[in-house]
Amino acid sequence: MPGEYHFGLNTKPERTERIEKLIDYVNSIEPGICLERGRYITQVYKENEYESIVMKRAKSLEKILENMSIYIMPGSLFVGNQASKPRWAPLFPEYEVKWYEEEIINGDPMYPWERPADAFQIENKKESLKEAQEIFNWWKGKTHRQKVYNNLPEEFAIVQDKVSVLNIWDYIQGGVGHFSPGHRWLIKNGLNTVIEIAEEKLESLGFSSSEELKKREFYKSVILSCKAVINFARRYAELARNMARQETDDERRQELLRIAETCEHVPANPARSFYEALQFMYFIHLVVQIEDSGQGISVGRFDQILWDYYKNDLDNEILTRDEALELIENFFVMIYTINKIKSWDCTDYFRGSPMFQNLTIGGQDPVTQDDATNELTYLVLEATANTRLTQPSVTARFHKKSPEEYKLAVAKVIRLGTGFPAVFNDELYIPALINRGYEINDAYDYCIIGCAEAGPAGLLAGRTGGAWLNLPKILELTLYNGKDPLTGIRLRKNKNDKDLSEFISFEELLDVFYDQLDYYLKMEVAFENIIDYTYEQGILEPFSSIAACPETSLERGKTLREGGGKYDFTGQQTIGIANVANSLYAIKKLVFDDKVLTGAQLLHAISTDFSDKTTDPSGPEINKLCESVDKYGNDVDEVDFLARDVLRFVSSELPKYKNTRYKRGPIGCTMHASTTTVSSNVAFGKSVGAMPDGRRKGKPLADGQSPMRGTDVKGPTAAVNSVSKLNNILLSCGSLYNLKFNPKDLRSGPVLKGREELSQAKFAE
Amino acid sequence: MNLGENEGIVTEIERYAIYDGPGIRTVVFLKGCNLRCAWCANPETQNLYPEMGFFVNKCIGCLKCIEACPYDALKYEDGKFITDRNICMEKCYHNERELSCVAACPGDARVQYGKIMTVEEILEEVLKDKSVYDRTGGGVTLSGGEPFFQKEFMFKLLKALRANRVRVAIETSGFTDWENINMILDDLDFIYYDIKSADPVLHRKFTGGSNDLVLENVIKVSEYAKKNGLPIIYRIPVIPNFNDSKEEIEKITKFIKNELYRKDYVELLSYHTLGLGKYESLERDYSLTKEKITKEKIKMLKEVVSEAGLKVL
Repeated sequence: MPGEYHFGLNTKPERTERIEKLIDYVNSIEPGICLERGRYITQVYKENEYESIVMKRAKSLEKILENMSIYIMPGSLFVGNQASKPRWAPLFPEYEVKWYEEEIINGDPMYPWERPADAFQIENKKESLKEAQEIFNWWKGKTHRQKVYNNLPEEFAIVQDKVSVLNIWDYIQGGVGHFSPGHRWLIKNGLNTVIEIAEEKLESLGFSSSEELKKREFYKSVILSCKAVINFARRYAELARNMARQETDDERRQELLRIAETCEHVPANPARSFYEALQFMYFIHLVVQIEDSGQGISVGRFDQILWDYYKNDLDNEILTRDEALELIENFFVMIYTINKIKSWDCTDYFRGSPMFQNLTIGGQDPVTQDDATNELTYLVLEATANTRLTQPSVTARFHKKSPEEYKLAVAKVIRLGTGFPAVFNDELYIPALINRGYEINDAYDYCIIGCAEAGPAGLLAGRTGGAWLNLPKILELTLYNGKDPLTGIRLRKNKNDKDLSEFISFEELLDVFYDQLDYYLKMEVAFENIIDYTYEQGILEPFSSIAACPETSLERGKTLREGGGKYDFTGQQTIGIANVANSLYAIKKLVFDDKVLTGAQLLHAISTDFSDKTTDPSGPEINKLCESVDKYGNDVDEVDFLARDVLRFVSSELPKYKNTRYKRGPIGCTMHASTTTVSSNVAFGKSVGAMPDGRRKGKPLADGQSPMRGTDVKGPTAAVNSVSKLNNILLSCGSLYNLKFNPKDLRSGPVLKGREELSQAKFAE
Repeated sequence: MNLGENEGIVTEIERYAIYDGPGIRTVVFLKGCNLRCAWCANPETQNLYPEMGFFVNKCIGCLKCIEACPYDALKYEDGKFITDRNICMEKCYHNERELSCVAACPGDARVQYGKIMTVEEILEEVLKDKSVYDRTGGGVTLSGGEPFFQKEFMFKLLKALRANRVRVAIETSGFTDWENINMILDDLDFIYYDIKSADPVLHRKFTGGSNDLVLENVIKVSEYAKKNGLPIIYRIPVIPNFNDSKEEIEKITKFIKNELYRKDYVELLSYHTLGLGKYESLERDYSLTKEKITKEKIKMLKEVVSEAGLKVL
């Protein structure tokens, strides 16, 4: 069929009737707010005020899963829903009701259904709002947010809320998430095995120490929540049988009966087929996102986890390749139905309601280190091209021995322009992980979690996400002797009490900048630890703990927050390295090397947003001068090395600091850095004035470790060279580089190959 | 311009070129050409000396260029810049390695077309992507202007590239003595050879040069290419009122088919006016039409080539 063509590429995805209808069905529903979870968790917390934290959570999960509305989507072969409708967002009032109340009840700054983007509807408005208000009223003063603020020194709050040096709202308003469940272990063992282990542990524990008593609570909560999940699956079995009885279409009736049989078997028992394994995975994937509001729940290495099931079914002729493809596509649609509502403020940093449900393909075998691509790898790529949904976030691991065929198949999907798959470089990530203390096999088994963070599924606790760190803001504060030009707030003077007009050398500027950076890094670390400490005071997740790290959390009797993982790190996101390098270099060049401007002239120009025409040179002239200095991203060592040095400072300082799980079991337990961005570069940009790189006040910053938009003028090879000069290996929490091509240049065979080769080229070095 | 022994004039070095030979390449545009094709999209590459281009839309009106010019070639009167290009030519282009007005411009309104570079400087730039060439089967493409116009320099550059194991392609009009071409064939991995017209009169009228030499040379090049397995693409720029007729393309096709030894590929390059801004920046007139050639016409002309049994790109 002749589809619609865009630069010679077919823009019309190929879908089976079932998938086409499913996607249409989901997309026909406007995202909304579902009160059910909020209702049931509030009831449980009211009735169980004196229960332990883990038991409160387990009882809440039980209550929610027992009572929430369930449905089966028309034609879907899989079941499981997060809220009463697809892409509706549950309420998580235990984290935060302040913004819920401001936005949902008071419409400040606007009602969620009036947002210009990422809007959420509400049904039966009058009654719903009444119930919502009651829920919010009960939680006031008891939320995670409130507790964080109780624990937070005043100047910390100013740094975030007023000056925007950093932003960690995501973890003040919501849960942690950011892990990849141990699907391999869980599917193979079933939740009944988890219950058995927990029962044995409970049996062997005494009552003699507070530690033992605490563990007893944990195991009891694990048993309760696993049983709740098994019963949740049985509710779907019952629903499917009822629907089958009324179904007139014979084929659909058989499908519904198969759903019923499957949900009676998994996740209680080990999966016996590819189909059961997928349904099993989805239940786990879903329930952790009902238990907690944390995003970034990663599916893990899909083609590796499911390979044996797929091959076995194919060998036994109970599955065909086409059937498997449709199942994968159906699975993708299920993942796409999961959603979360964030405050309008926070939405600025996360545009397009991303859920970061990552799914990894390719890479290497953890034991043999051979290439691990298989037929499922290609099926995932086909499913990605056919569904073209915003979720899951598909990720392709590349390494030196990745087959040509695979790399080309990935490139072909990339050129569809959906932004997937993202390509990750094993040659960089694996040594980066080993450098942080990962065992070699675990490092080779990494999947992508969240945006671009690497970690092995089933073994990594902590959180791969953390505060956004606004590097250009820290440089800006340095240029104004510690004073924020936007708010007038001065948190901390430069150590020499000078501003840009007074520095006598570039080295002096660098010295005070690093001193300020060091100060704000310490503050960021404190922020991270205060938040984790606060989680421990109020939110400990039994089910997420055994899902994320089944073997270690069960063995130790600990939740993730208390040291239940094999590995544990606290991540963060460093934003705007390009703006910092470009600004530093512009100052070096214009003020100290070429002496075309004085520091005072440049400071005046940036403080007036390059608009003062009365000076000589005038503001616009200084802006041009600033723009004409070489920029990061053009393979110019002098400026690229500034980017390298500043980023190295951040990424080698952070791991010197411990997180709250240090010496409590896991390997690691330090901070580490990433450059993942989402849309924080736009949000942060609003709070940063004009800078010596020529960027005007309020404009977006550069994303990730990419060059600033429009300033990398020597083509992609030069830009890639610049980016690879950074000490990327230190960015063990993830490095992000967006390389954008004109679709026209990806059109023909040889050119596509060239582009794909380019993404590979850096591996040789 | 007094150039050092090891120096040449380069208009531009373009990295990540994907339409100038196999793989990912860097194109070195050498300045200077002995033809003056009316449709030339890169007029700034024609003269063998640095020239000043002025993009008035980027000008911030600081007048620093006027102060900076040591020869009073620039004036600003009634809101307009006036450049006495004769002064530039006589006093500046042949004497100044870096043009003062360009150096003084805080924005990018004034640009210098043509940078004096040594072989080593070019090498340093192009070797930055060596790993990319090696992985993609790419390399360096020597282009112009006409790369043979600075032949001594070009030979040195080519040798240096080969010494660094870089594969080299060339884009040439073929308007040079045979011995020059013959001298470098062994060092090339790929050739783009322009055949603009089979008609001597038309060729001279539109390019300022005869096509005798071009056609004689291409026969010999194709013989070498056949014998030594050197890939060659014949390029026909399709230009309105010059060769955009079925008859003209047929003549070229016939020549390729009957006279040439190796005839793998013919590439038709459609006329475009993307170079107009550069003409304006040099304050030079553009004599050809601003209308494009239709896609249908190009398709028809491509059919003419392919019907003759030649592979067409």
